[in-house]
Amino acid sequence: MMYQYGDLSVELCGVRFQNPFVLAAAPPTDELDMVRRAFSMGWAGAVLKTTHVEGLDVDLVYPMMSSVNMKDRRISGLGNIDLISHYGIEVVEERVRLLKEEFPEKVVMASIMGSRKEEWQELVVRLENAGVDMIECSFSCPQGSMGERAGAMLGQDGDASKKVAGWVKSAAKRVPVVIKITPQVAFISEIVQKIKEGGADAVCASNTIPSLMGIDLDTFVPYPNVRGKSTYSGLSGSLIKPITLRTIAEIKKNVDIPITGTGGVTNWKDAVELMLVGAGNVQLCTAVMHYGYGIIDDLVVGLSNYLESHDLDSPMQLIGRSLLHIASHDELKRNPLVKAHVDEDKCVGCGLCHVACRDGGHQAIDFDTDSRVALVDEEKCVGCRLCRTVCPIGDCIKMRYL
Amino acid sequence: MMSLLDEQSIELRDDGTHHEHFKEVTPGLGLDSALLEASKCLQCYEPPCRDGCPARIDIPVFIRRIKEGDFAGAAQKIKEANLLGGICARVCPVDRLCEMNCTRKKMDCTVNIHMLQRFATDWEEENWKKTITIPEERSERIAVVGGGPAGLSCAYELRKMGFGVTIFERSDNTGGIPSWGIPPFRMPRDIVKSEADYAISTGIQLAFGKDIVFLDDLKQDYNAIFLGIGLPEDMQYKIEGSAEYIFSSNLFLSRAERKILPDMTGKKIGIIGGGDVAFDVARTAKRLGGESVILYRRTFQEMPAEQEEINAAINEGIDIKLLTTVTEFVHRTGGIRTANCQVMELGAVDQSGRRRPLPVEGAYYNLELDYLVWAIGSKLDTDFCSMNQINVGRNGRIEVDENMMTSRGGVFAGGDSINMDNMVVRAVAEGKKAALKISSYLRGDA
Repeated sequence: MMYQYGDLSVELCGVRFQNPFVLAAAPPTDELDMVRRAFSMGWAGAVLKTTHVEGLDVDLVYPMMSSVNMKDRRISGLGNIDLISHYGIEVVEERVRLLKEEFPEKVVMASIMGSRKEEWQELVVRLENAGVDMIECSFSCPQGSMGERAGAMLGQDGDASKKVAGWVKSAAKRVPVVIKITPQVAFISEIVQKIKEGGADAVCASNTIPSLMGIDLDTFVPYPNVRGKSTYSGLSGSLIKPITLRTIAEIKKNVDIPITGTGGVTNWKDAVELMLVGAGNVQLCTAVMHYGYGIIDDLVVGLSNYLESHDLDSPMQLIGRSLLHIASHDELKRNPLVKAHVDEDKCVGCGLCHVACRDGGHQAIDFDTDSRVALVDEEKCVGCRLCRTVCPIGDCIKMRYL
Repeated sequence: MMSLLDEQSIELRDDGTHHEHFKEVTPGLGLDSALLEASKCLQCYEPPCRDGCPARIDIPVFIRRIKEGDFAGAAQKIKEANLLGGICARVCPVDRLCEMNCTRKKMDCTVNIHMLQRFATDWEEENWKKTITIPEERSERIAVVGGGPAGLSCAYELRKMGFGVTIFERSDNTGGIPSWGIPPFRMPRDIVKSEADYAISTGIQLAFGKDIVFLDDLKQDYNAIFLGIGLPEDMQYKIEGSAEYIFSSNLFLSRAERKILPDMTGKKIGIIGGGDVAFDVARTAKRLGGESVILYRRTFQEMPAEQEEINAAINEGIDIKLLTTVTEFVHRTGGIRTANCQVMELGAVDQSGRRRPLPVEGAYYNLELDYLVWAIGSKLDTDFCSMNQINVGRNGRIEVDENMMTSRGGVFAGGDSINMDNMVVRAVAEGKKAALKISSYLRGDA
């Protein structure tokens, strides 16, 4: 290799990952050879797709995927009505054994879902015996609900979550237990506090978001169309990253618990952002389903370059670094005043800032249609920054403090 | 779109599949390419592209509708301003019009407006077209002479205002030059017919095969007259030779359209000229199995043809001889015909702003040709104008005032017969403007 990249290893709950990038419990981890291939390409770990006790019939439907395509961009968001793996524990425990033999340096995690206490605990014991490194418990799959109420997720009920986390934790003798949560709750830190009280070692924040993906305007059937009917999907991909960031930040600010971050990470910059609000590592799925395992190279190279160019030695130094910059609204400073400034040399003269300010702001940007240059009226400008968001040129409009 | 054309060089086969070669050469944008292209539009305030469009199509709005997936709405926004949006998407010299001042150019490259326009109008052709509502009928009737772009546009606008309109057309169909003078591999006939038919569907009366000689004949039944008579006469200069083997471009293209040209297979055709029409003739002759050579008296730099046409012709294997003037076209023994060619050089800049070609003394060469085609332009039917007391300006075009009215009261004009740039979009714009002026005139405002 032409370039040498630095050490990207991270540690979560005492488990070492070669780099922060882990495959989430999803289709990319649902076959043994798929995981083998991903590991050999450089992924640090994989959460094997959620398994269950023997004999459970997982009743899948197809088609199960649909997407939100923003203009020309495919899969800004991906919706699925997938369920847990159709592979029962008897298959997954064997895979764990094989993967640990073949890839001792990789982190093999298993995701589980049960209904009764005995089921949860049986799954834990068998996986631990197979040599799994961590166990993730799905409390939050928007489709295959196993919560107390029909249609509700276990992760939406703090007391139930605490109880089940306790069952799992008491069965786990050796390996850390991670609870995968949903952001679809009123107060996420209260739920996570209960999960912590139940004994969980970490949380995985967070699962897909229950969504209706869109509707076919000719047939009136929402997507995905399963023989004339549809159902709510779990939304993942870029669209949900801001929700994930807020979820992780909110947990990290209120509960002292390690977090494996997921939800909306499609590149190394997203991963850095999740770590900056408190994730210890990151899990990916949608980007892999779009572009394949090969993106691991981009992730490793991008993160490594970022760290090196910012004089950071380890990704661990990123964890939670942005939290002190997140305050409540009333804590934000009102002074000094801020004003927009248009760089005339960079302005291409589209006039978008003028229209946005005129119709969505404070009529503070004049536009001469002959010279085609925008000019900010500082008397009227309140500094809302709308103009900056619509300007097609990255650094043409700057916000300046007076 | 040059790269697309490069890949489209045509393989000519002489196996009776010539009609295949007359299919449109340039492929349209696919859905994904169109969305990607549309996303490049910055949505400028008071957009320069719109200012560059003679028909003033609200370009950012139709592109925004494409971007948001409303293709019918995009096509309607185009057609609101330009009835012949699909035709113009194919032949507008966009480098000099909408795309010339695209703001995006300051960032990377211009938005491909014409291909987006074609995408939207093609979508409408292939999917769904909204019908137009005509207001209550008015009593006044207008005669439109000529069923080309200017006449259609004027008639359509007048119908939308409720006036009674009759188009008098010498030939047996509407559409004008785009329906026969621009070859089908650049201008699909179904597009021309569909856009013309849409105008006619508003209730325009048609009088085909009517060659209007005296406008007085119309005065009794019509309150106003619009002339969209174009430039029906060919420009030629005199050379010695056998007339039966010499065509004008108009004659060549109209006969090709009606499939009544002599067999061109294996024949060598020389085309005099350097405009789009010369290339259209050359590419048509090539498709008919002939071998085309363009004979142009200046160089590539002065050539008025669109670059896209020149590139396509070169790709199709058409020979171009520059700095050449034909002085004689003579029979020799054995049925061989030869063009005597004078070699030229460029002198000082003339009033057209281009360097004047001058003969190089003693420099001649001979070219064996079966046919010779003039493609150096067309001119007004000045006899018609003088017979009807319509003044013609020094530029050889009908004079109109700011209300598009000719020297004769109540007679308006627009299109190629009044302007010098022979653009479909200009004709559409002038037809539209004339309709408004006619309406004012009939109300007594003008």
